[in-house]
Formats: sequence, C-alpha cells, structure tokens
Amino acid sequence: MSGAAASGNEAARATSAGARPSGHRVRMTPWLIVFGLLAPALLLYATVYLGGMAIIGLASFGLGPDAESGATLANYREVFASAHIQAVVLRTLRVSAITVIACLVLGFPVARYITSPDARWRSFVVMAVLSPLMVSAIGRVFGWIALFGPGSWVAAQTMHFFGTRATGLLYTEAGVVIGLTNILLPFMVLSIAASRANLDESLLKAAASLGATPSAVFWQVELPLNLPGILGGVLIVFSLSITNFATAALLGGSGRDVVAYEIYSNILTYHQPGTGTALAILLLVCSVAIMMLAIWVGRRADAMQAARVET
Amino acid sequence: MSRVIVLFSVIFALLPGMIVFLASFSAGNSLAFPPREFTLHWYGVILGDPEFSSALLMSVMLAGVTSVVATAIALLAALAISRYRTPTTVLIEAFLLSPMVVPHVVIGIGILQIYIIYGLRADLMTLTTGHLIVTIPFALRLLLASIAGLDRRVEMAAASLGAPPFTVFRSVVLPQMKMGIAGALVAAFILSFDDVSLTIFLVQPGYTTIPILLFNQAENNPGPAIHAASVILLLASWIAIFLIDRLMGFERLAFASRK
Amino acid sequence: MYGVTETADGSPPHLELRGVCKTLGGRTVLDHVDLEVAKGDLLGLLGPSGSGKTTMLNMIGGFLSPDSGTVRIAGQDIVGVQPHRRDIGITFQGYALFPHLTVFDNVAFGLKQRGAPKPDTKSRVTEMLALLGLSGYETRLPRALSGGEQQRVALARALVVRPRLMLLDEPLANLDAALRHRVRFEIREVLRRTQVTSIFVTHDQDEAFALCDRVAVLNQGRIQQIGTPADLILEPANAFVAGFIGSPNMLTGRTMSYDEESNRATVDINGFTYAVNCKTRVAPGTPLTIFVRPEEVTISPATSGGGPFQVKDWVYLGSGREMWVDGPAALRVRLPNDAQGYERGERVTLSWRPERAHAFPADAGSRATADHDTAQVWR
Repeated sequence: MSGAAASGNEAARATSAGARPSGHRVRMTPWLIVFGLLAPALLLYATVYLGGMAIIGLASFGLGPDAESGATLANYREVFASAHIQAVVLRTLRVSAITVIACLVLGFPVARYITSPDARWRSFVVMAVLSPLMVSAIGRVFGWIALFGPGSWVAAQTMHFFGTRATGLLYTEAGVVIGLTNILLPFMVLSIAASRANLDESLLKAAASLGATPSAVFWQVELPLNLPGILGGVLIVFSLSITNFATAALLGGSGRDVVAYEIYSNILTYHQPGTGTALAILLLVCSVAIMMLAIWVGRRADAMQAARVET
Repeated sequence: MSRVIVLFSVIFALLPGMIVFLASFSAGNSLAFPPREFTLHWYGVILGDPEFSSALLMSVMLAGVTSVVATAIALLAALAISRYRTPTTVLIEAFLLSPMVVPHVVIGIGILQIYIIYGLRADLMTLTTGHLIVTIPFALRLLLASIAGLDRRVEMAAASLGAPPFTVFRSVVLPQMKMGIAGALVAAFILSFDDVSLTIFLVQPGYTTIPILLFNQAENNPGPAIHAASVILLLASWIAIFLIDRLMGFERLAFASRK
Repeated sequence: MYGVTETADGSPPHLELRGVCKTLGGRTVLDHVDLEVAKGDLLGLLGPSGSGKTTMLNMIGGFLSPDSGTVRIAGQDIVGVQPHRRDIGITFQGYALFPHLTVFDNVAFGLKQRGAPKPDTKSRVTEMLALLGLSGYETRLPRALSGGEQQRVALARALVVRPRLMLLDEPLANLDAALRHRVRFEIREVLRRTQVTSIFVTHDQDEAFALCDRVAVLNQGRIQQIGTPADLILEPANAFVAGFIGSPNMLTGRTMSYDEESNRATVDINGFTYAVNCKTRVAPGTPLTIFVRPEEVTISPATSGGGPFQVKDWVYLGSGREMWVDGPAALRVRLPNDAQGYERGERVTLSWRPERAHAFPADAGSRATADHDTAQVWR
C-alpha cells in the first residue's frame, strides 16, 4: 500500500475521468475526494472526542465556562498533595501489578500452546481464552459474585480460615485482581502469541544441534525472542488495568476506589470537577504514554524478524 | 505443567459465564451456587420487567444505529486512508485509531462536560455520538485490514476496461469487502451493546442501557433475576462471536484488536 | 567392534543406517533404508519432494526416532540420544540464524554451549569467519546480511564446533541462480578443507552432482541407487533413477529379442528396430520403457527417400540446441550450438549407442515415472 500503488490508482482514476466523453461533468481532484471521505470521521472526532478532552483539560487548569478565576495549577497540586488520592493511586498500581503478573503466568503457557504446531485443541483454546475480548464483562461479573461472593463455598472457606469475611473474596482487592485478570488475559496472550508466530522451529532445532540443552534453548533462544511480545503484553495489560472502571467498581467494595472510580465519584457523585478533571488528565497522559511504548516495542519486535529468509 | 496452566486458563476464562448461565436457571432465591432446582421463572420475571425491557430496547437501538453509522464512517475513512497514503493520512489514521488507547472514562467525562455546557439531555443521538468514538477505531481497523487484502490489479483491470472510479468501487471493491464490512458491523454492535465505562457517564434516569442497568443493580442488592438478565446480555455476545467466527474467523478479529 | 560393517575401501562407515523405517501420519515415509557414508565423504541425498529426505535428516539429527532400524555414527548407536548430545552440525533451509545475536555470537553459540574458554572461542570463531570470507562481520546482525552471507554464517556456526557429521538441508535453495554456482563451489571447498563427513539433502540434481562425491537417490522412502554421478547417469539401477536423472526421453517399445550375456535387447518401437541396454532378463513380447538422454541421440540427415523422423522445432538453450523430433516416437535431441542445423520439417534419422539407452520392463517403471508423460505433451 505504498505511493506507487496509490499513484497507480490515481492514474487510473485520472485517465478514466479524463478519458470519459462529456458525460463526466465535475472533475474532482483527489484531495477533495479524500477530504470528503474523511470529513464525517474527523468532524465527529473533533467535536466530541477532542472537544470533550479539551474541555476536561481546560477545566483541570481551572479554565472553562463556569470558571471563577484564571488558569491555575490548584487542581493538580491538590491531586498530588491529597493523601486520599495517593492511597487510591497506590491501590490502583498494586492491583494492576498483580494483575499483570497473573496474566503473565497464565498467558505465557497459553500463548506457547496456541503457537505450537501440534496443539490438538488449539482452536478451542483460542476461542475460550480470547472470548473475554468480546463477551460482556458486566454480564459475567455476577458469575464471580456467585462464585466467591457471600453465600458461596469460597466465602465459607475464607470465613473458616481468615475468620472475618462473610463476603468471601467479593469487595476485596483480590476479587478485583481475579476479575481484571479474566478480562485482560486475552491481551497478554495475543501479544505474546504474535511475537511467537515469528519464532521458527528451525531456530530451536539449530540451537539443539549446536549442543544447547532444552533448558539452554529456552533461556538463550526462546525467551529472548519472546521478550518483545512479553514486554508489549505487560505494558498493554498494565495500561488497561490502571484505567479500568467497571470491574473494580463492582467487585472492589472497599477496594473499588481505583483511579477511574475516583474520577467517576469526584465528577458524578460529588460534583468536584476540579480534582476529578486533573486526575483524568494525568491518567490519560500516563496510559497513553504506556500504550505508545507498547506499540513501539511491538514495532521493534516486528522489525527484528523482518529480514528473516522466507523458505 | 504448562498444559495444566493452559487448562486452568481455559476454565478460568469460561467460568464466570458458565456460572451465570447455570445460575439463571436456579430456583433458589439466593445468589449462591450451585443451584438446587431448575426453572425458567427468572427469565419470565426479567422479560416482564418494564425497566428491563425499555433498557433492552434502548440498548438494541443504540447498538444498531451505532454499528451502522460507525461502519459507514469507518468505511469512508478506510478507503481514503488506504488509497491515498500520504504522511497526512497516516497521521489521520493514527488519530482515528487513538480512542483505543485512551481510557473510556476520560472520553466519557469529556462528552459529559459537553452535555453540561450545551445543556444536552441523554437521548439516542447523544449516546450514539459517544459510542461512535469508541467503535469507529475497531471498525476502521477491521476495514483497513479487509482493504489491504484486496488485489489492486482487479481494480486497475476494471478501470482499463472503462469503469469510472465510483463504479469500480461499487462493483469491484465493495463486493470483495462484504465479509469485512459484516465483521465491522457485528463488532461495532457488540462493543456498543456491552459498553459500560463510557456509557455510565452519559446515561440519565429513563435512558439507560442493559449493562448500566446491571451495573446499578450490582451496586445495590440484586435480586436473583439478575442472572437471567445477565444471560440475555451475554446472548448478544455469544451470537456475535459465532457470527464473527463464521464471517472472518474469530482469531482474525482478535488479532486485529491488538493494540 | 560388534556390528560394524565395512565400506568398499575397507574402513568402517562413519555414518550407518540399517533397516530404518518410519511412518508418519499413516504414511510410510522411510521404508527399510540402508545407508553407509565413509569418513570425509560428501554424500548427496537426492529425491523429489515427499521422498523422505527431510525425514531422514531429522532422524539423523535426532529430532525424530526411527520406528525400527539402527542409526550409528562411528559405530556408536545414536538412536535415543538427544539432539544436543549428538555433535552433528546442521544447516537449515532458511539458515535459522539467531536474529537476536550478532554474527560473532551466532557462530560462537555452539562453543558457548560446550563451555569453551573465551579466548579459545574468540580465536576459533575469528578463524572460521576468515575461512568463509566473513572477517569484519562480527558485530553485524542477521537481518543486515544478504542471503549468501547468511548462508556462510550458518555454515561457520555449524562447522566451528568441529562436528563429527554435517547435515545440509537444501543449502542453495534460497539463492538466485548466479549466486548458487559460486556458493556451491565455496561450500565444497570449505567442507573439503575441514574434512568433515557431510550429507547434502536436495531435490536439485545439478546441485547434488556438483557438490557430492556420491549421491543416494531416494524415492517413496526407499533408496533407489547410491553411486557417483557417473554411475547414476551411465548405469541407472531402475526405471525411477533412469527417469529422474537428467531429463531423458521416455519411449515405449516391445521386446523382440534379448541377449543375456551382453544385456542387450532389440526392441520394436512403432515398427522400427533399435538396440538397447537392459539389465533384467525379458522375454520377447515384454513391453519395455526405454530412457535415452537427449545428449545421447545422434541425428543425421535422412537418406534420399525420407527417414522415419521429422524435425518439428528447435530452440536455443544457451547450453546447446534442443530439437524436437517426431516419428515412431517423439524425442528431444541435444546438439551443441554450432552443430549442423536442420530445417523444420526436414526428415532425419536418429540413432544411439545401445549402452546409452536404458530399458526396463514397463510395469516397474510406469508408476515412478508417471510425471514423464506430461513432458511429452507437446506432441
């Protein structure tokens, strides 16, 4: 899809437009066509998407229609100073970190399985493990509630062993981690599997023929080549989990107050757009930065495999 | 050992859905599991509930409109981006895909602020515009991939035989993109239908969607009919997965939704 | 040593396969394969795709186990020995260079696994790189190398550990024609210099004949014949070999008589009589498949009155002229570029030396040489 093809097409259009007899009344330049095609999308995005975020941005600095004074950093100062928000951020990071680890532990073997040549249940495993990408999280959250919420077997066990929780794992950070891992595992698996698809079986055979024990093959060849995929997966899962709202809100209880929920309650419940918007902007910047990093890692991984000889 | 983990992951991924499904038939009153008797009672309850049925109607209409409009807009954009590749259009592509990396909550409150400033109420149109922002990127991704798979030379042959650009589009490009378009429609529909973290900022009493309804119910004390309600929501997802698998293979969609 | 057989020149074989069988997915891929390679030999494994050569390679390398039979190196049974303990150098199609390691680290990989001390490794790697003309490439990454360069790195990597056996899987397959000839020569030189026993797996005859001392022709899991290129061309053991090597003309005829002492048969080809070489005793009337290479057919102008054959067309091939002649049988004839030309439509006489035409009973050949019929489609 390079310039050559595009200009070939343009040439085709130009000749056909020009070659036509008088029937073709208006001769439109390509740029006008492009603009026309992109206009609806750009218009929509500019007003709703950019517009909305711009308003938040402005509000976070104290500007906007219902602002009292001029630009100020008061909101940001408050975000950084507030002990409550610090606790929220810490909780968010904690939950996210554990979720990433859980996704890694579960995701790597799965990615390995679905990219191995002799996997008999491959399509089934793919469907099953990747289904949370499309199957409503809300629809399934009551499954968790039923599974480890009040009245469940898990609740009975935790009551038994830890004495207190009659609500089982519900309304705890552990519950949130479980819920998050469930919906974010597909992203880890996809990221690792994509980088594994480039892993050639002959590389592993070559290493073995050169004397590398199975363990050495894994640590010296397989893992280094999987690293970009693993890194990308880690970054994506982390980013998605620090911005998560619904799962934490529903399963978290006291542990529900993560950054996204804090923003929600600030703006909707307490009508404190100040700190809420500042927090939102900070969250935006962080998560976008992490995502960009993940994409960059992904590109580097593709480049590394790019020059491989096709057989 | 790793086989065990794979098995565990599969069960883990499917578990909550299965439990909701089974619990929806439970005659017992509590949310506990496993159920003791089986009944369709709760389905009757939920389908008869006016709040539920209006939310369902809203959800379906919203998702339907969103999916059609999103696919249309994304199709136009995809054509422009793939056929006229300049640094500007590459930038535009990144811009149009960007909502995928932006947290829904941020997009949501952004739109909410617009509501407030312009005094808008929640209705089909306002909700749709919000949903479009989060569904267009996916539709765009899928359609770009679909276009990328086309053989340009067929179009060049058509042009050389005298077909003007629009005819080439209508009779050569579009028919070949049928699968991709259908896939985009289904994907956009289900994304809109299931959405919570954006919608929650945009709904008002009287105008709510099924996921939000369930969300609110969960915060308060949900009755046992909640499982039936969840299954109805999940039904849409399951049908969507089935359709997508038929149309383009579920795996392809999954890999296309990689960030 | 117990169980060691001896090769023709008296030394024990370096590599020995006996009765090796392997079934994969219900298909018999290797069918009682016997093979011996002497130390320092360069053996080619030649065969069409599906003949089992890759399976044999995997088996010798240790990635597959035979269902039955033995594989021995220097008398030692290696079935059941893990690949990383076999000390066999392998170059793969596609080279399989470690993309995340530099050229130096790629080549040093095997030495590293063996725990060689650093200074040792450095000198050996440098030496090997010099041998392959790669000095100065140490810090480059595989993706910055051309196909030919990657090939040499792959060779260096496998050879530097001084393996007791080298397996090369289609080493020239990914290179373009011009490069192939040069690299072919280089590979042979390096292997000779290092005196490593080597096995080449290939489907390309020219490659096999140019690189190897002896070639084993494989088809449908069985070794059809092992011999020097001359053996295979001049004395093919069966119809498959006769039809596979070179691109011979394939004719059908009926036995008229057979002389056991000289292995000569007279055949009737559509009314005309020719003498051919036939190893098996055939009774008169037996249908025969006869293979004659285009280079072995002599063409001469017809005597007045018209000869049995007529020239249909001819092309310049660069390496010579190929004429398509029709008559009792359709034949291709190869002539040097500057030989006497013939007009299209001209009548000619064809002949060949009996010992250069190989005949086999028709049934034995038909299955294996089915592909040949399509080559005659121009008729």
